[in-house]
Amino acid sequence: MSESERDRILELVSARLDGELTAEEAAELERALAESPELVREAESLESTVAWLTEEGGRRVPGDRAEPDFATSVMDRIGADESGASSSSAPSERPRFRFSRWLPMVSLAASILLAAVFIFDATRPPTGHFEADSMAKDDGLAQSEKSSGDDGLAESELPDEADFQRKQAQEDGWAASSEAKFVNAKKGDLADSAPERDGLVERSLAKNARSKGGLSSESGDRQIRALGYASDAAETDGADAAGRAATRGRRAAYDSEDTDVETPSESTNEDFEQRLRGEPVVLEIRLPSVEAAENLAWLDSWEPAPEPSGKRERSETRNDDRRAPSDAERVTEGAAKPPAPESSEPASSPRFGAREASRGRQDLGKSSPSARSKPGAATSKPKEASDAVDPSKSHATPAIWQRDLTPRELAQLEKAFEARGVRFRRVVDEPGKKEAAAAAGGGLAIPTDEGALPGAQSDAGAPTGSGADPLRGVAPRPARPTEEPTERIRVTIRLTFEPIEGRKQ
Amino acid sequence: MTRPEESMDDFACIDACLSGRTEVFSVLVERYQDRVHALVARMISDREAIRDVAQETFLLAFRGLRTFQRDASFMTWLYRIAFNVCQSERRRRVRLRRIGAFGSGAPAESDEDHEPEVADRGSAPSDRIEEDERRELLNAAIAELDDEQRDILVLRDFRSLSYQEIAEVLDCPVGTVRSRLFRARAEVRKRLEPMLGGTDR
Repeated sequence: MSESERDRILELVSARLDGELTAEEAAELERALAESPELVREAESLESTVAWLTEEGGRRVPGDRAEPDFATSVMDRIGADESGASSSSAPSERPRFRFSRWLPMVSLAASILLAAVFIFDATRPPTGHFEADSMAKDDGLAQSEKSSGDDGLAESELPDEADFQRKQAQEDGWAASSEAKFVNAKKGDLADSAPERDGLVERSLAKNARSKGGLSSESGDRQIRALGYASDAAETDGADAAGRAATRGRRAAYDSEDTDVETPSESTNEDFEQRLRGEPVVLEIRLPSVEAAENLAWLDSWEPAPEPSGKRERSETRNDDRRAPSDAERVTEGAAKPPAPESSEPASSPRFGAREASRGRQDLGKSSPSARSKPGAATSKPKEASDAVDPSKSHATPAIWQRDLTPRELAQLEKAFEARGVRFRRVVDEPGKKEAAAAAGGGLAIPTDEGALPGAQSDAGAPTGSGADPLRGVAPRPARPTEEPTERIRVTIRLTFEPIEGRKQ
Repeated sequence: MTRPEESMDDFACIDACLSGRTEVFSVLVERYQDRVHALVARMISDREAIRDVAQETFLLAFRGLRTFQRDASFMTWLYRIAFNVCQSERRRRVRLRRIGAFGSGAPAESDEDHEPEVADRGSAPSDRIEEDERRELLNAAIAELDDEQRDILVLRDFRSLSYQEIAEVLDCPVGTVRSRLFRARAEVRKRLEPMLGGTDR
């Protein structure tokens, strides 16, 4: 008989001792015991054990009887439990007791957590990145809830914050232009931003922004950083600005790869700041050829749209000119005007193309004394002017157009450029830098929708773009201030011609 | 002098308690307090703890009267509560012993407190010595069992519960009770083998 079979028979023996055996099991047990005397002995041994156990179970052991007052004590505890007045050691009070122990601990933990949050919030440097994150939308366009107006400049609602960030950006040398911010935002490419105490954008985030924005891979760290700033804010249609994040967006450089030519990040940033202060602004328009200048004929008749009645009140302008100048008044006679930033240059002609063409050609090739008296006349001698252009360099002309505009009007003018696909940039009217920039012919291009910087210049001034029409482009639009300045700004327009080599590309 | 409630059966007492007559529960306490104590005393060695465990058993039973399903007897239900409270008490003691709170290195389920009352047995001194030796050996064998086997021995051989009742208390099938009980008995028999060989009937 196997071990398991033997155990099974003995289990039946155990059950039979307890009277828990069925008739069939009893018959099976009888048969097995009849066949195996050894099983009989083991069954008897098991019976003896059970008998001893039963006997032992019948014995009294200490504590196996209740004390006389046991029932009373139980009922007392039940009564106390029901009345809720029992001691904390009563089982009924245990849950309440535990809760009361946990309550202060939970309160303490919550207090510490709140304190930590407040401390973190207080010590965190102000940054627009957080707001920019939340404002970014899937389609790449974000709007600031707190910005207003159509075409103004973005302004941080927190001046202190803006100043802080400006300083940080300037200290780091990574000042950026709002143009790049605008372009980048318009492209709908918002990079995730991270809180930065040092004012720098994380390189990885900036790279992401660059890749999304399709900017030139030639951009260096400066561009990466600048675009990182730019990616923090997004705007819709150039009209609305991304509130607080706009302060960082202003530092986005739109032409940051030309670091060898000038300091665009600084100049463009200062340009923006100066613009806010009502200082002169120069708009440099990039043209592929002198012939293309005729596309600017509309400037002769351009007039800013009237401002809303609430904003008609003009502030003091630099030359006390409180009305839109007429064509004749548009003549930027250096003697008649207060010293303009470009006062070292002759004033532009009263009509676009009249004197500027002459001056431009003279400057370019000194071979075309004739000037276009009308836009249509520009086609008369463009060839010789262009022929005179040094094919290896781009050239900037003196001012061709100058007016005193309010920031709103300036924005309208920029919109007009934008609507006509005219690429332009604002530059600081600092003669030294301006000339350096003009001589190098760099830093004039603006990122376009093609995702690259078509006008991105190498050191030689050759565009590195993919052959896109240089006249096409997205005019950058600065963020709009919440409080629009009304002080007039001297706005000068001059032309810059693409090098011939660049045009061929 | 007997109270009228004492003639009520368990279910009637429970109904009375549930209807607000809390004092009727004392009838149930008095009716089962000794059995609960006997069970607890076999499962818990600490005399001080026996009363507390028994008291908590009745308190839990009172609080859970509404959950009592009458497909089992009140006694079985009460045993089950007592069994669970005993297990909780054991675990608590094991934890205390593990962290050294109990110190002294005394065995957890030492039966040193379970010295039986030996008076008034009416047997000869030689028989008494042999009987004491056997009991000592038996208690030692029981103490060496694991809790599962010891509990089922207590419920069956000490408290005379049926297999069905044991199954209800332990919340396991009847077949499991039978096989588990057999293994417990076989284990005790194995430990008592030398004595059984000499005194086998």
